[in-house]
Amino acid sequence: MKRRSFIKSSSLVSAAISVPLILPSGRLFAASGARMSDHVVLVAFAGGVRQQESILQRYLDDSQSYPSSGNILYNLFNGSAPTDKIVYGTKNIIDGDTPIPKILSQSIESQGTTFREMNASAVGHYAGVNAMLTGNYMYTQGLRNKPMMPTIFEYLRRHQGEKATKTWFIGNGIGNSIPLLDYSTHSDYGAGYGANFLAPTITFGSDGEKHLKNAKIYHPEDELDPMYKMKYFLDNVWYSQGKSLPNIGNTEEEKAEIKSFVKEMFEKTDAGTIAHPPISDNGDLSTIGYACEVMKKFKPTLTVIYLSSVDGCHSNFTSYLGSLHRADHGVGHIWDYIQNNIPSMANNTTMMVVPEHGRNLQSNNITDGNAFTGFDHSDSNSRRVFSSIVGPGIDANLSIGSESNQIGDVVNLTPTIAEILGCKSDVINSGLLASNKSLFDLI
Amino acid sequence: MPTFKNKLFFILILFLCVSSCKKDDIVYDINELQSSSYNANKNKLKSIGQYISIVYANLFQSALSSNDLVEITNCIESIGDKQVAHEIVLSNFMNKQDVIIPSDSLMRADLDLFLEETYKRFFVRDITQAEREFFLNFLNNNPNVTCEMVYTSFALSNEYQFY
Repeated sequence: MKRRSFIKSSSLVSAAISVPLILPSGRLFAASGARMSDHVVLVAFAGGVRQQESILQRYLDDSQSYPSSGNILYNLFNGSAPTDKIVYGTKNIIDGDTPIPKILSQSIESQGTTFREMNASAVGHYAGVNAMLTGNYMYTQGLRNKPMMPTIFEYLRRHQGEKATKTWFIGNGIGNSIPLLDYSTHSDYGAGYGANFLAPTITFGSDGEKHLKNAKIYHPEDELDPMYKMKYFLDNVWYSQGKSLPNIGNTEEEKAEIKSFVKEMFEKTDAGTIAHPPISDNGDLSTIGYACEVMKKFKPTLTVIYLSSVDGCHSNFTSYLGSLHRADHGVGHIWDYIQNNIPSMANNTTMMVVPEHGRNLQSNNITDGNAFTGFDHSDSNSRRVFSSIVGPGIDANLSIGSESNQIGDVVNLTPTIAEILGCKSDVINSGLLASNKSLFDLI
Repeated sequence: MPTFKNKLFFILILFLCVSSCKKDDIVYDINELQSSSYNANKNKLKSIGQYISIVYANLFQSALSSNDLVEITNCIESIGDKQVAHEIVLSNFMNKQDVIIPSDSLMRADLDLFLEETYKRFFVRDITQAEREFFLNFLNNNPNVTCEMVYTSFALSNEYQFY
């Protein structure tokens, strides 16, 4: 090689190496923290869960004064199922008499680490999920307002330069202000770093069937391109007046991908080929099926799935047990689906399962068809939750804390996710977290 | 002299008529607003329900039923990126038989008139000269752009989100 061409090619190579990646945050390079895995799935499980019927495996023993205990979450925890008064399964002869078969050959407890007793100070659904996603308790914030502190989606997008379609928040419905949790109103973060929200039971349910399914897919070059050009001209004129709209920053390609995903989901729904769990007879399980499709299509860095069916416990304890059992079935399906159907996420995903809060120690006076009494969420028992974590680098079969030894808090989840995804120092340096400790720091 | 007197009398009458007191205009202490001026002082963001009701009325020239309004609002709330949600809902509208849109030939026959009417229909204001220039150039240089595409871009624009 001649000297001149050597200098030319070597300068090009060194320039290519040194040209920095400009992230939305303005920093030149992505955060250098090592990732434990490239994907995190957080399951907000599942609308207010008592420790007694979940990790403590007391079934009816501790709630209805009926001597039957056992484990109804056998994908999550080790332990034998109850043998008496089975009401939580599917119907064979009578409602609920047939437990749903276990999906995972090894429970999440055996594969990962379990925090047996954690604190969740916010005992409302919106406030609880808000605390999980922001690492803060919003004591001064009410419903129908976006979070005041940045969500983990925003931290990830700002500090790791993640695209909008790499962060998804999938909710079981649009109630309880849940759609507001896709981004905060914090001045340093906000809409531009938000997640894509989807409530598939609405989008692909009867409302969507009627008003979204028949949508045209415009040709990207011949139709969409001139339409966007005209729209951008109109927006520029309008922007000159100083007005703009919140925008989570999906690029045109990402928007096209989302629209094509919606179209595809309607087709798969019609064909009955959505990746639903083997049993899919309630809203949570239906949501999980579409969440699996989102993960398969977009391979998100962070997926948050909010389940809420167990909230029926206010007035129907039997349906609560059934929903709890199904949420466990759904979690087993998510983990199994990731490992067996999404090659780029298999062995490269960390899953965390945490209820947003617990439920009361004492029941209310509302009885259901089995004469079981319901439970609200307002007392100190409502502040007790568990957390299960499984994935690369997570200790297997490790149990932390106990009923008499509370370790961990839901506000530790945000720094935990940040640590897994390699941006913990950035998130801590924002100075906006209630606790800088991840759950790993508490082991 | 009588002629001079008559003339003087006539001039006096004329002067009195011209200079006589006039009735004051009524002033209600409300700032005057030119409703069709540029940007038309729009500063409030439409709610999802308002947006859907208005765009439906613009496209179908009839009111949306309350059931459909609730269902479409739910659909939009179920998708986080509102522009994507609006695009899907709008293209669904465009696929309906009873949508009222001028034909492309009618649009091309008098682009000036079409643009003036489109600005009034969607933005409730007059088109500015700069906007007219842009659209005339754009539509002349892109003969395949349809009326549906123009309407969609107006319905998706940020200005249309405000009132």
